[in-house]
Amino acid sequence: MTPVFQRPVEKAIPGEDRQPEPGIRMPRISVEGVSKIYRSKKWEFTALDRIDLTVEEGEFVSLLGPSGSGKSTLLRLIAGLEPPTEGRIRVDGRTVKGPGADRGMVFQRYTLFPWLTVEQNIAFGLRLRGESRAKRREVVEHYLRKIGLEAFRSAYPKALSGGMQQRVAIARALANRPSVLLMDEPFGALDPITKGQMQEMLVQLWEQEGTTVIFVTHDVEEAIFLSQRIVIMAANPGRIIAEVRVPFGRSRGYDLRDTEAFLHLKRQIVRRLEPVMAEK
Amino acid sequence: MFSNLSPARYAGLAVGSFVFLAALWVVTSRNGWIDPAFLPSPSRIADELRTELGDPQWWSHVGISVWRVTVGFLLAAALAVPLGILAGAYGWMDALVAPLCEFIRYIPVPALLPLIMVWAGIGEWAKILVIAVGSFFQMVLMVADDTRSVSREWLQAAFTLGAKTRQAFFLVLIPAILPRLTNTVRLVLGWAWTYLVVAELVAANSGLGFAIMKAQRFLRTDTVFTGILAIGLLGLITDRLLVLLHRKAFPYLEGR
Repeated sequence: MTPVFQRPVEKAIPGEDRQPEPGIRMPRISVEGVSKIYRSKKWEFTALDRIDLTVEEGEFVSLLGPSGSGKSTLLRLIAGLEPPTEGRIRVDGRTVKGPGADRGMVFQRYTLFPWLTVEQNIAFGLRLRGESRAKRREVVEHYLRKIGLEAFRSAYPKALSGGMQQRVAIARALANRPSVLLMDEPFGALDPITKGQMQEMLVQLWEQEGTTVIFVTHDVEEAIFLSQRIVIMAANPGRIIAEVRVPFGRSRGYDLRDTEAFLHLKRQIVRRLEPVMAEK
Repeated sequence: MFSNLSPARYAGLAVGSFVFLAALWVVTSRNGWIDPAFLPSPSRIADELRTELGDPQWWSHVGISVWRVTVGFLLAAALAVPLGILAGAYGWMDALVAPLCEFIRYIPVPALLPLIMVWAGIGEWAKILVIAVGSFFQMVLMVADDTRSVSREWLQAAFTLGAKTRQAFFLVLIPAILPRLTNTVRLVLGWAWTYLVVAELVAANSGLGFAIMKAQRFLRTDTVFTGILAIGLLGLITDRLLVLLHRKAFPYLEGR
């Protein structure tokens, strides 16, 4: 299935493992020596300490770490919701100066606009840009189908379950065709079954749409199941302590979790995380 | 808070409270426990109300009172709502407006009455001004509070969807405030009726407050009662209408 509309550079070939060619292709996101320090007269807190990170186009990267490791802060800096204290962040070569439609975000808490229906919520970004009614309709249809909520198009968010609301939130962000989708523990508040379903849906969406995703989580299994690369972070100060490549291909089913390779990787990561968890 | 009630039971109990009070009244006056000059019997008041309902003079009192409340309140709302929203949305506006309003709102309206009469005379505008001044300062602060309590994350979500400040203001902030705002308006409108009576008791020759005052001078307790009843009913009707409007205007709050 081809996406409804696509930027010319985003020719996603399913199954292709896109390796970046250094020096030729510009990374989608580059975080360059970024620190975030919160100061008051009495205290100082280093949420992020000189972070360097690049994310390639189409990549799915998870930021994994204990609370206080600055993973959400880093995401908010990329979104432009807060400025870095030092360093800079570039998205598609442009320095981030504030929030913008090229960086869609899905929050942990349900942030759908309660006064708008599911359809209207999904179309919100397009409406801001002044897209035509026909265009909006087309895009909304596309994503309603993707998230399987065609029957709820005219429902208000209050009538939806938490999982459904987050599906709409993802559709709302994707409908803008952002350069990158930033996800801040979006499934953190869901029950395990729903969470598993949402993860599978997200993997499928990512596969079909070819969007670059940065996903914040503290759930090791979630990070492995979803991502191609896991960036492990630690607290005090917030920093990157390791990066792990996830060897599994793009099409992943729920059963992947039971394979020896998955469990082995999980043990590896947990072992890496344990000492920094104890620091807290 | 501690026990939930079905809507039917709630309505039943609510009606019951009215019936209980009325029954107590009937029994009291039947047995002659209280001098009818102080507490007329319900039937006496019903008679009085019947004659008044047919009296154009009485209706003109009702009319002028409703007019004063409406104009005074709308005047206050027209200024207080935008000002309150701006104060809730922008720090500098908050600093300019909120402390000043906090100060003024602690001054009881009756204390301002002499000043208002000196400034605005004793004509229509004086009464309207009393209502407007009384409602305004409270309303600014309450609307500012409504605005402040809007979830930051809705705005952040809007910004990450590409909203400009203007768009975030009109497409997210305003709709997000509306349900609370209507509730605030409803509360303040109740107070506006209080200020009306304050204004009419002191300086007026028309309106329900004046009618009550005049009846008191002639010890027409029954007329005092009908006046009070009329104000209570008018308040109740507007209140219920606004509740109904709230329900109709914001169906999404119930998830329908």
